[in-house]
Amino acid sequence: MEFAAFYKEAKDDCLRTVTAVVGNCELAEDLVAEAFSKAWASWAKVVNHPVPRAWIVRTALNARVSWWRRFRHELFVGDWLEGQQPSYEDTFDRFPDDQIMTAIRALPQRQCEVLALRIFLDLDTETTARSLGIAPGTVTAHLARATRALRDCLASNLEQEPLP
Amino acid sequence: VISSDDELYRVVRTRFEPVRMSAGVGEIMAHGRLLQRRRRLAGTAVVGMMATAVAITLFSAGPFLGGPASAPKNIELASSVEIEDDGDVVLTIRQLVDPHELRTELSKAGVPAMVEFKELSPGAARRCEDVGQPSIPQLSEVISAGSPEPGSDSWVFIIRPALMPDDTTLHLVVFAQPDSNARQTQAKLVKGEPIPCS
Repeated sequence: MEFAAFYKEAKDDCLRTVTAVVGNCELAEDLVAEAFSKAWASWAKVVNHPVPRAWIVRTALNARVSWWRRFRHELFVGDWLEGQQPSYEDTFDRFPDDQIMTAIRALPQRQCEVLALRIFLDLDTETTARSLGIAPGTVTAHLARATRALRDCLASNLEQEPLP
Repeated sequence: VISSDDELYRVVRTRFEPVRMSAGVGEIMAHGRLLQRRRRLAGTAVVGMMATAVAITLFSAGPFLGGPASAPKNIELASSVEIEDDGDVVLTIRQLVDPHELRTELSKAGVPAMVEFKELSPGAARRCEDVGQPSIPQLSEVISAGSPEPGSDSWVFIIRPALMPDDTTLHLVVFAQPDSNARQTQAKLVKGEPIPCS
């Protein structure tokens, strides 16, 4: 598989997964962009990973310092810089609605990761377990709890605002 | 009513549909190339890396922007311009000296450019005045910005002259404060000759 085709096919799902876990679209994009850049630099290895998209998400979530942020926002945004760093607290249009994000962010971290990998990458239990370094039984338990909690949270709001 | 787990997941996927990557694959690959280069530099002798390079040597008369004549002589490579096998140009800036010479070397490497180094006083704005000269959108494809090389204050930029539209010039302005290593670079790709930063 060519990197460009992989990027085109996987980028949005990886971003949604990381966004769900970190709770911020802009930070998530920085992390995912950095992870894809690392994948490009090590493509011979990553392309042979059983699930390259899981590699991207794991790498993004492991990232501690986002050089990419400076690259996009401080140095070359396509025009002159404003000389100011945007805040990760900035709101912007791509952010999922508060109802969903609040429900997901209320989950414990590990449950959130398991749920996001299932929803956006459609990973099965075994692959999720390998990606997160936990036992398959733990994945099953986390997913069940997370799904139940998410359903309960959303159900309480459905009467006020019907989902599409 | 959400009747099943799959239905619940579908609802969440629908709500996340607007979340999309804005970065193009070109930007990702450009940054990846920089990461790859850093890795090579870490594992390869610098002498070997420079063997095929077209390099310039700018001998610093001072630590910053030419500095006072009485500053300690500091003989080292202040900047370098290297041409890689694929035609990419690697610009490494270690010290902010002699932008005109750097421009000449970039030109020799096939990169029409204007380079300016600006010394800022504390609190001064780190940007140039808007002079109404629009930047061409291909900028992010033409140049990827660097961060300090591991263990140094050098900044690396990879420039792809093959992607510069005809009759365009790359305008780089590096801002720095004399009392710190903080730097910020502004870049613009313009038609014709850039208007100097003011």
